[in-house]
Amino acid sequence: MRNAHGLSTPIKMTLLYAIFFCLSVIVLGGIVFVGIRNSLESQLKAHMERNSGELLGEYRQEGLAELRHAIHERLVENLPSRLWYSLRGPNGKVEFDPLPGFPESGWHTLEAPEELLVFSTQLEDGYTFAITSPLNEIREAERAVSNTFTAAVLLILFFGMAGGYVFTRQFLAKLDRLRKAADTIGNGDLRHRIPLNGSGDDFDQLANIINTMLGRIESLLLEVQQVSTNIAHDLRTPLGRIRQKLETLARSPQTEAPTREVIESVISLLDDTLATFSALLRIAELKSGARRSGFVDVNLTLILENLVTAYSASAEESGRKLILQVDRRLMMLGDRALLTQLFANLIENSLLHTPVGTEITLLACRVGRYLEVTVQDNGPGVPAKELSQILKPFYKLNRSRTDSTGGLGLSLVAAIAKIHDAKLLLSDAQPGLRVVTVFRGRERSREKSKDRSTRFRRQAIFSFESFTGYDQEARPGRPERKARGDIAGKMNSHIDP
Amino acid sequence: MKILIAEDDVETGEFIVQGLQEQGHVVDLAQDGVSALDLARHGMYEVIVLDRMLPQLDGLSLLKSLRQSNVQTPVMFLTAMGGIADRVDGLESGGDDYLVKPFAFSEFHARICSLGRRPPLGEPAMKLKVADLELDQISRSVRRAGKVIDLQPTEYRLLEHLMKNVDRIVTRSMLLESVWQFNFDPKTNIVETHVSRLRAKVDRGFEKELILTVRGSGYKMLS
Repeated sequence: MRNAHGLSTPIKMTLLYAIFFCLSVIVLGGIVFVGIRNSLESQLKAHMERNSGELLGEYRQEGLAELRHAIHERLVENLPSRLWYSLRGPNGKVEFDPLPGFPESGWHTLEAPEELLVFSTQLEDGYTFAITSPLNEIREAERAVSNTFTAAVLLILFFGMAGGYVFTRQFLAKLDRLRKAADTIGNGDLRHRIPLNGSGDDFDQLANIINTMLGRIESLLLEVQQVSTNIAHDLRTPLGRIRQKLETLARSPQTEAPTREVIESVISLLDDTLATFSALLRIAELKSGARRSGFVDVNLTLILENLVTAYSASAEESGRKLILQVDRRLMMLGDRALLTQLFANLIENSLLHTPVGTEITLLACRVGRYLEVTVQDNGPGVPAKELSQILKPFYKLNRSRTDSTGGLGLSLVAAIAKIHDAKLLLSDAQPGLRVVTVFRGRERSREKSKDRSTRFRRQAIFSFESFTGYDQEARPGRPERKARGDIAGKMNSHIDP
Repeated sequence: MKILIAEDDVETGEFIVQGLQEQGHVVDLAQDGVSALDLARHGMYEVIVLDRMLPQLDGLSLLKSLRQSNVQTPVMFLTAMGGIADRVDGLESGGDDYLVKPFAFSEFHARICSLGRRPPLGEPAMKLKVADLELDQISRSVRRAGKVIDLQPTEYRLLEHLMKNVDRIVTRSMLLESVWQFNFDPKTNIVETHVSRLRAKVDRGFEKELILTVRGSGYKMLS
């Protein structure tokens, strides 16, 4: 869920939501603030204008003395209205209620020291009359509004963030479920389905649609596989009969020697085809996963030692070298015959597709709970973009080459690895091809102590090597310790339950 | 040898019978499981060849009944069921060999001969002797004309297998199964290489060559 900027998506989305919420509350607060202030101000102004109008009416009818009298009356009778009245003489002399320098006429605000709203009117004989109201009530109302909204913003910020975080998490958890399922399916497990949460929400509906789609894809793929398996299976019988007829013909005393030779070459062609069909059927059988029930404890060390014993003579004969470095007692759960075939195919792949003088190295060791077997050569290797292709059935690196192996050897390797829940990693050995197979190891408590002693010995060798300035690259074919760690790290994410 | 073939496919049955008769064997053919069981119980055969999918009684059940009635005749399964588990099932239920169809007659014949003349159980030979070549199975030492021959473990197992089957053809796949426990066909010449190394040690410098290559079939140790 983490993106390149370091903030996790739920936090980012939550912040975004919270900012939008707060902005909208602030805008709302502003509108309310301005609305309340304007309304209070216009009320106050209307009140002041009405008072001023009444007083000025009396002044116009009765003169200045009556104005003074009326103001006096109002001040005495009508205190709660909190209006102040000022009158300034023609020469600037203040008649009563001093008010610092108010202007001639119209609306003004003054700071004296509290904020005041003044409405002044020029009278005929040089007098200026002002009616004044303190603005503190309006200001208090403004403060109350802005305090309320600040509190609201803070609360919204808090609840919005908390709620947003929870909702985003839930949303993304659902999305993550989809993503993980898609990942698993993308990695080749077509039987996987997206789990439903049972709520029937949009995600469930989407999951349902995707699951239906996957079901269709799976059944189509199975059909394709089934067709090729059926072809292989059904053609075996007639081809077998043809083989029998040809053999009878070749055996017959009437058949001349040259004809017999032709028949025998046809039989060997037929045998190649039959071998391809057998391999196809074997791969189909492995893919169905039928064999797993027959798994027993096997010693991978012995399997590899036997294979190297078997192949080193023909490797030497062909001018190549087979090197084995293997830990003792690498125990795992598996099928001995299949594991033998897996590594035999890898060794043969290296023997058949490398030039004379190539060294083929088999390394097997325990890495934590896993057993790691590396088969690598220092031959021409495989171009990086084709690495993932070579496990596919009938894929041949060099298309122009006529190859009797039929291109199924590595597919069989992949199928055997898969049935053992093993991870198969192909990489460039610079130069050459490196194939690492990582199995889940099997340790019994008694063997653990033995293994520990072996591991200590290995460590001792490594530290000695580094002490004497041992150059790892000087020994061909040994993968660096770092690479091994990387693989173990990858394993954790792929295999750990 | 007297051989019983239980095979319901007429064409394949005839192909086998004809081939074996040409090699001088006496062959009975049963086309269903029940008649095959009846023949097997009373016929005193040296080898029985069973298809696994027979009408009325399948090969595995047939073999079980046969062993229950204490018939210990070597049995070879000859079947189209070539799955990994099928082979294990066949051998675990008491079959002595398992050959998957389609097959080469030479392979089939070599395996039949190897089965038919197995030494009786219970008294394993401690020493094998072919001409002036001696193999001691206890000390795992080999001598020819009194001279000690130093062999690698694989070469020893190879020689032991050839000597046990003296004068009979041993095919490449029989050697792969018994010496290396390989149930698949390697693309490289591992058998040829090891045989030629063994031959260099056993035959080179001696008058008579004991290990013979039979073209298109396999190898044969000559007495």
